[in-house]
Amino acid sequence: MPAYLTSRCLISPQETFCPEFFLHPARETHEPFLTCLDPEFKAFIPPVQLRRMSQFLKRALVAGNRCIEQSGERPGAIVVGTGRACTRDLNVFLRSAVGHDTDGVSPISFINSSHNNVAAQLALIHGVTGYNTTYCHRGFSLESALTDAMMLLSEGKARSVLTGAMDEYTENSFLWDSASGLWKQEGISSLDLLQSQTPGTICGEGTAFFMWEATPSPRAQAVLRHVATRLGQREAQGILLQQARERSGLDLATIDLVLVGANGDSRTDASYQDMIRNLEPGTPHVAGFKHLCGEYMTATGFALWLAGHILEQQVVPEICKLQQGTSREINNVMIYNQFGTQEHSLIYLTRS
Amino acid sequence: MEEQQLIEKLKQQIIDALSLEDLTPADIDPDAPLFVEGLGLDSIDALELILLLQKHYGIKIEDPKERRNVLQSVRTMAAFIISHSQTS
Repeated sequence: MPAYLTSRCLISPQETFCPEFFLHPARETHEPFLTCLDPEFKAFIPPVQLRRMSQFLKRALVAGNRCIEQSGERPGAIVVGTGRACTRDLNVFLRSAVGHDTDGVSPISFINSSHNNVAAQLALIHGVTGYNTTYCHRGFSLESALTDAMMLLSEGKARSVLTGAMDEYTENSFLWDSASGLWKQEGISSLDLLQSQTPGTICGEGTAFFMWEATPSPRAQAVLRHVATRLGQREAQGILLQQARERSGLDLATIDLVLVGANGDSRTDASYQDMIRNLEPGTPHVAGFKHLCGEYMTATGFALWLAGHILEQQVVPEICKLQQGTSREINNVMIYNQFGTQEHSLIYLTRS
Repeated sequence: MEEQQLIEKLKQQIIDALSLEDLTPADIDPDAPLFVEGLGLDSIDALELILLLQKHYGIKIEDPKERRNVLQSVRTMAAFIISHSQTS
């Protein structure tokens, strides 16, 4: 059963919180990471509440609150996906616990360290007493949240579901992933990332929220038809496409735009070339997004927000285009992403 | 350390511990109640203040009734720290 997108909000390294995002020039960095452009939190959260919140939580509450306000409906359920949750505050809490032998640990750092803090705070603020959960499934975290949301809607357990996707850059998490060779060794402009031919990518972060409803309405911006994940090497892509054909009627010949999670890593970008070869020659536009947000476990949150934007505006931003297609209208969008070498995901959306 | 010096130091430590970013030490009345009125602190802040005393002054307050008396205002906190340092 499809889910209807009625609002979306994104805080990212670009000016995406501002409605005129693509009128701004894209933000560029030569650092090995892209960090978010945060809104003025004081304008959205009372100072008394703000003082105890981590940056991770502030972003999530501002984006989640805006999403709920724009949809005009209190969600019946809240489902969040985050690869690593609030890593920065977890570090503070653990250091404090180790340093004080677990006696005398700050309650605020404990509150901010729990992975399900965001979903819980949103539920408290909006009085959502229904289903509330958080998935920490690495590169599948958002996809797990979306799958859960679609199931809740199709089973009639909620009329609307708020889903979130968020991860944050921290010095520690950057170092952890450096050890596994995830980041580029050489300096590179983020805007040249997708043309890079060397191993590694650049680190990123972002917070995205989406409101989904079970029934169509004039407010619907897009329709979520299919979400799937697959662990494996390059063969995983074929399995994902086959499943999408069988379960959701995905016809590659009708796809107008493919958003690919290419990240400039010479070791993994071949997957995206495979995907492009599977498409009807010349027809779909192909676009990338990780040069704008960097790589992180819930980067498909940026892609999903972008897909909603494109379906609504009917324009593929020039800064994202990798291949010009012949489709005049953008009605069917597929997002194909790979995190690391093993985690493949596919999201299929259509125009409402 | 004299009481007034200690009060000024405590004010800054409270601002830091509770992330009261919009306040300066001058904004805090040492005799105003810390909870509900005055600074308007709550139970989570109380735990942070108990930790502050433990971390910066090596004082543990085990008795809940004593905590209530000590955490009435910045001045009562300072007086408790001074009395504790004299007896220990």
